[in-house]
Amino acid sequence: MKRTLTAVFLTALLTLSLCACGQSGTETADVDLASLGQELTALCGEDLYELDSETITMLYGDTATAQALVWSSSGTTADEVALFQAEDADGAAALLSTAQQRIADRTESYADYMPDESAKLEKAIAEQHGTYVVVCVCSQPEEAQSILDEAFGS
Amino acid sequence: MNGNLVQKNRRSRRRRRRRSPWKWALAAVIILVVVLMTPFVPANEPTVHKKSTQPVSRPVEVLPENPQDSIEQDADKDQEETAQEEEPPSGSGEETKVSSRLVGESEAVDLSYFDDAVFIGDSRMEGFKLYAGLGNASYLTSVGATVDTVAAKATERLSSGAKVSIMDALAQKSFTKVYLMLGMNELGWVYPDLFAEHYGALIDQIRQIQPNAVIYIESILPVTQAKDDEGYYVNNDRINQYNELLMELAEEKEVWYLDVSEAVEDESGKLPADISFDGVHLKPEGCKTWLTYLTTHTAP
Repeated sequence: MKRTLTAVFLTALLTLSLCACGQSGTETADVDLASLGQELTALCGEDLYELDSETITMLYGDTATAQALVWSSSGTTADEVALFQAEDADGAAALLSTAQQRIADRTESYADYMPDESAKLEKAIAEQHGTYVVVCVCSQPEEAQSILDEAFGS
Repeated sequence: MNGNLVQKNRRSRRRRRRRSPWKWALAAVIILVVVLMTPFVPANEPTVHKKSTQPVSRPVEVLPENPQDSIEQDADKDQEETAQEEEPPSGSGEETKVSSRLVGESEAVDLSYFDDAVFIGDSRMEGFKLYAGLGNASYLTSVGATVDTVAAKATERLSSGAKVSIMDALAQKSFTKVYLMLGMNELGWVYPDLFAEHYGALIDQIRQIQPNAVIYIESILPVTQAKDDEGYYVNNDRINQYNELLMELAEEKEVWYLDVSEAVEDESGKLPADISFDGVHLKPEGCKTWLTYLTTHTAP
């Protein structure tokens, strides 16, 4: 009887902890990506333009997303703001991996071309918050981080 | 005998004394004339300036970031003067021959024309990729790309994860149209002919990789007046010089030359300031104008 109660208790505990883990990916409060984008792009100066969905797919792959907003420079700088809401946490993890690879490749490309921009890319922000993925390449990464901390309650 | 000689010498001295004032006066006049004329005949003025009836505008002198820049700018001046001297007269047979590979205006094609097209180029082509709105085409672009780095530098990430050069990436898929835009990052090269030579070798390589593709060389787009005024080697004179070489190259290699510059330049041949943030790269509206030009300029 004692063993049975212990087993039931452990099973219940495990079930509850698994539920909690699953929710941690989606627990993040809804974030208004358009507003967040406005705040972040304001840190990047005037030369930033919104990309269409086809171009976003070219840059970040064909990962299924509920929402994707990307702003990029015309070429004057390496600045970029990319905000995604994936369909699930796995999709977000895949997007984050692609974003990190993209940042690494761009850092390498800019090293000989615009070294200052390469240094900016080295301080780029790429984060996952549940199903959300955020990328920010700008000259004020500390300010960008503060905005993100506030938005995602970190 | 001696008396005669003495008398002869005295007469001679007297004659010399009588002539001397005139000689000195003549010498003084000559010196005066020479001194007065000197400021009007600059010793180092180039022949072209002496002939010109227009005021000579001098380029703004800018200290180069490194000594190599100075060499390049000097080389530029020499080449520009040579180009002016060697420029064939308008309407000559040579000019007609050179423009035979120039793509003229044609009926607009549907965007599906670019389904099997690949665009290869530098940061300006990357801007086109981002903002033209042509998502059905393929792109092999890299900031800072040159005719040399497209084959030598690994900049393209394949789906396998491997990083390869643009030329190696080009071999991964078959294309029927290849659009090239390179040259902006080579404007500082000391020898423009070397740029044309390397560009030619690149075209040969593309032909081997994509034997069925129509190859388009796109002209190097102009820069703004403000960029010109910086006095750096990135200027419209240099760009025009390179574009002439590219047009000749198109003829030599029997590929097509697209004068996309005419789509975005103003009446003075410069990039309008309102379609470029930094005087070099195009804002989205400029990229869309560029795409419209491509749809109405296709090889026959």
